Amino acid sequence: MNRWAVIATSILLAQAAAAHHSTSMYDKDAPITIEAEVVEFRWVNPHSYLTVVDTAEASGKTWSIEMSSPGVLTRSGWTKRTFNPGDKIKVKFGPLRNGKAGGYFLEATLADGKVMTYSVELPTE
Amino acid sequence: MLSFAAAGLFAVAPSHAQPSAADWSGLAKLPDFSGVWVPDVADQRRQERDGRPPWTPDAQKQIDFLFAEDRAGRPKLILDHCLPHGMPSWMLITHNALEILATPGRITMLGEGDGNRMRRIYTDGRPHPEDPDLTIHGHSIGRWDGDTLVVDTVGIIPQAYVASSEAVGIPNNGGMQIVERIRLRDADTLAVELTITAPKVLTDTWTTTRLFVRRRGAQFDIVEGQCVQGALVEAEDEHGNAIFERAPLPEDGRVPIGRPQ
Repeated sequence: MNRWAVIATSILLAQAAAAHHSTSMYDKDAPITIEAEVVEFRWVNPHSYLTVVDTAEASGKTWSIEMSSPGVLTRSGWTKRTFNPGDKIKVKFGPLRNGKAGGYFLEATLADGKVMTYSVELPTE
Repeated sequence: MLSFAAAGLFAVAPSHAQPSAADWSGLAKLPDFSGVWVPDVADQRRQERDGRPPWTPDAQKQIDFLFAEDRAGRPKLILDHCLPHGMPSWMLITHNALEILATPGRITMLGEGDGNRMRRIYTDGRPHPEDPDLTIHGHSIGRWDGDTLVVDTVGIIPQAYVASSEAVGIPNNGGMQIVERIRLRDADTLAVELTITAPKVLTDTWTTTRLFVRRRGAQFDIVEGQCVQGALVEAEDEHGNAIFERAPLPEDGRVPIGRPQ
C-alpha cells in the first residue's frame, strides 16, 4: 500500500473507529437502507466494519458500518472476502443517534442476491 | 510421585513435577470439557433481565444510572479499554466462544475477541499463593467433586468488572472471591454456576449460572482476536516494512477502543 492509500484508509478509519460492545448509540429501530459501493471491509477485532459510499447520493456520502467480531461472523458463515472493494451492495443499518455517518450493520444483499446477516445467538451446526 | 484417580477425585503429581503416563491416561476418566464452547447469549440476556446481583445501595444507584443511560442510547462502554473482560465478566457476558484444554493437573480456558483471555485452573492440589499478584482473571485452583469441577478464584484486580451487560457493570473494587461449579448438563452443554463474593459492591454472595454449548464444526474454531488491532491501521515505514500505525481519532462521536483518549 502506498503512502496515499494509507492516508486514504486512515481518513476512512477516522470515521469508522469501533464502538466496543454495547450498541445502543445506534438507532436500530429506525434503520436506513442504501444502495452502496464497498470501499473497504476491515476484518478486525474487536469489531469488523464496512466502509461504503452511498451510490444514490449525488454527494457520494460515505458511511462506516460496524458489526461484530471475526469470530462471531465466521460462525455465521462470513469470511474476510464477504465484501470486497468495488462490490455493489444494498445494506441496511441502524444509524448513529448523533447524526454522524456511522451505523450498526443489520443486513446486506450482495450483487448475486445473497443476503448476509449474522447473530450472536446460539448458532446451529 | 503421587498419582491417583479414584472415587471421582483426581490429582496428579504435585505441581511442577513431570506428568506420568498414568496422569495423561487419567484424563480420560474425567468429564470431557475439552473443545470449543459457544455462550448461550439468549440465556445470558434472560439472566441479565431476571438475575440481578444483590448490589449495595450505592452500587445499585450506579447500576440504575447505567441501565438508564444504555436505554437512552448513551451506553457507558465499560470494556472500551480493550483489556480482557476479566473475571467474572468473561463467564457472565461474553458473546465470543472459548476453548477448554485439559492437561494433567490443569484446565485451561482460551478465549477470543480481546487478545489475552486465558484462565489457568490448577487441579494439581496446589493452594493459592499466600500473597498473589493481582490479575484480571485471578488465581484459580480446582478440584473434582464427582463430575463437577469446583474452582476457587482469588487475586482478582479491583478494576475487574462485575457486569450485567456490556454497558452495565461496576468494578469489584477489591476483595472478590469466585467459586464456580462447572459440569456437563448434557453431552454438549456446560453449566457454569458462579457464586460471587464481592464485599465492596454486593451485600451478599450472588449465585448465577451461565451456559455454553459445545460445537465441533470447523467454523467454530477459535479465531485469534487482538482487540487493539481495531485502533491501528496497516502502514509502511521508511524501509518499506509492514507496520501498524495508530488510526486517527474518530470524528463521528464514537469512542475509540484500546487507545488513550
